[in-house]
Amino acid sequence: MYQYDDYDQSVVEARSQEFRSQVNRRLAGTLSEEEFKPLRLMNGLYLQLHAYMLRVAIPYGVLSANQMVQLAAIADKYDRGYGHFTTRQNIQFNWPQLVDTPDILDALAEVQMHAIQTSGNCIRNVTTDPFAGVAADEIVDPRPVCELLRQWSTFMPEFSFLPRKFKFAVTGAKTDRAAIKFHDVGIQLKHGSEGQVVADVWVGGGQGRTPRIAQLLKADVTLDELLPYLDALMRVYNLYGNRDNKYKARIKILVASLGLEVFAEKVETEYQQTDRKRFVGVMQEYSRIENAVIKPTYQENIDDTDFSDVIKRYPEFNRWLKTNVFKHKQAGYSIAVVSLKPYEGIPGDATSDQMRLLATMSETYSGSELRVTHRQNIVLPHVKTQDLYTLWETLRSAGLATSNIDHPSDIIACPGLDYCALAKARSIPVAQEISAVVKKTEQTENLNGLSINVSGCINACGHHHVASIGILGLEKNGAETYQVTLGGRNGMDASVGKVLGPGLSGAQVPGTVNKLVDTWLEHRNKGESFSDTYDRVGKKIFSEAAYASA
Amino acid sequence: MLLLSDDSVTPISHADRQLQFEQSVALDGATDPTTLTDAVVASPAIEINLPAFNDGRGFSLARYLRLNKKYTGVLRATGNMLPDQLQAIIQLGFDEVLVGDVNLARHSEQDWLGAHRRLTDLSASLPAYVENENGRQSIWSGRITAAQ
Repeated sequence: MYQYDDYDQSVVEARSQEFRSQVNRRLAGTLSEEEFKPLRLMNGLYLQLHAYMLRVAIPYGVLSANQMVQLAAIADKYDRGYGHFTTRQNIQFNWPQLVDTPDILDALAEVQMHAIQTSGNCIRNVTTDPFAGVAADEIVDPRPVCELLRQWSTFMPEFSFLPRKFKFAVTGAKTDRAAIKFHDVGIQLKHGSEGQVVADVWVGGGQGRTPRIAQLLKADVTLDELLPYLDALMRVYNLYGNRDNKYKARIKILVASLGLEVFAEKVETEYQQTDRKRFVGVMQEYSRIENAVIKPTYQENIDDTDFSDVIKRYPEFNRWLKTNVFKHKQAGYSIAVVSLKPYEGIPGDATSDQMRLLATMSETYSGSELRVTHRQNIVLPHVKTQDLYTLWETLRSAGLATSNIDHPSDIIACPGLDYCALAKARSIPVAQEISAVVKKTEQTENLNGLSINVSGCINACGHHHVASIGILGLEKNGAETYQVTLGGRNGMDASVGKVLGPGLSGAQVPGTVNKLVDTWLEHRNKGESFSDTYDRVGKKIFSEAAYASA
Repeated sequence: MLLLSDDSVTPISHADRQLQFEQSVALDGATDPTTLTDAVVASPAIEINLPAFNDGRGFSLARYLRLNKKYTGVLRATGNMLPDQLQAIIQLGFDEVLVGDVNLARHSEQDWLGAHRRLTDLSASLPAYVENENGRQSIWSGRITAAQ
């Protein structure tokens, strides 16, 4: 992973020092809450329903073992002994005291971490493929571009007060595991006609109350021109994005209102006259970043591992191999995903003990590196295949071996009404109940290809639009009610789920989900995902099943 | 009223301010930079009024003037700003920040002086990766220099 130099370190330390002075002024009363708000948001500090919440950046989801240990220490010292991994590959602490937050930032800076731009109307933490650099289907490793974007966007004065927040995602693999088509800007890296790395720039995707699938803005942008082009794109958005209505302020609305062609022309005009002087040396920096990345040393010529005996004894291990282990580009190695979705648990939460265990596992088995996925799980990216059984045994003893990655109980859920001031309904209890009811079917049938996401309000932080089965919490006549959407996808074949029918009570949701799962099982063709079945057979079959006795 | 620049803080009288205003072209932060006339760009001083501290349009307008229009006259920020934005405003190519009476009623002179001290104290100001218009070396160019 990328290692800070003295410059990077000076950035996080200066920020921490600045924030300490701002917190002191707030505590002394010389900064009002209104004035403090944009300053604390730039440092990821939210005011939630019951307490402050601090969102810590995990740039493009990559973590070292010692960073994970420090997060555990922060959870113990300043929070309630746990943290919550998020869909932007970050971690949130739900109960910090304002007075402690400068000390938390100092503790983060000690391990090359920060909370810079994890909130506010600025360029947020860049996300990417959690299997970056190790996926068997990777074309270009996206991490150096992510790091370049991180540095370019950090403390960028011009783009610190955009019309609204701004999210980049980057992928360089055949399978899009970063949901680039649901980002303000999605970057797809590939090889150009002469073998050089080029980027396709997608724009205007997003979820929220107006879900939009990104459109291709410009293909084959060379790496040396990528930042000047993005700089022009950001300027056009900053100048022309809607500032009167926050619900119409994202770039997707600007692109939709101007039309892709007009928007592209504006960006192109700005790009052509963009002053290049600021970007001299970008390619040197790109190479420096590539070289500053500590790469794992892989052992060559590892014998094939034969798990046939172990599998007979432990069918659960066999299941875990099938669901949680993914193909690595290096022979003899595997990518192991640790599920933070225990049945009936809180999606994405990890206790400090679990964090420390994951850190130890990464030191022992994975080159001291971990990743956070946008589905709120943890990846051990460099595990020798022959170590998988020992790893699984240890994880199992800590309750971390749930075999459900990309299965129905691998639920994304936003914090919902349990924490969030914007929520209209609870998400976590609903996710827990769904997890309980799908458990049985999941353990007897292959349910790969069915995702369930739960949002507690129309802002869609739980990504309900892009799930096979999306659950959206709303408030109707003072009561929590849940709308079901079907048929969403977040890959290159992106689609937005469609509303199934009338809203349900919280108590009706788990049973309805079960009926939808059963209906899929009844109608699916071999290897067909839920959303493909839905598109093929149509909504009626599903709605009749869902509302049959409701 | 206070007039701040990269290296000075000067109290300014209402009479001097009036004169300064009359000798400048005033633009609203929301001005579409593609509509700027040659007369505006030829003006010796341009004021950009930032209507709200969280409205960054005036920031892009300033950058557009400096980098796309190669504007070399005096660029002055007025309006609703937080002391904590002083560094960003100077980085964007503003030569001067006019802190008016309304602003001073919200943010004390002490707050602005504190912000100005942080601006001039390299160890307290925020480093920038990409070159800005404040004449300071960026981290990226610092790295290139160090590598040579």
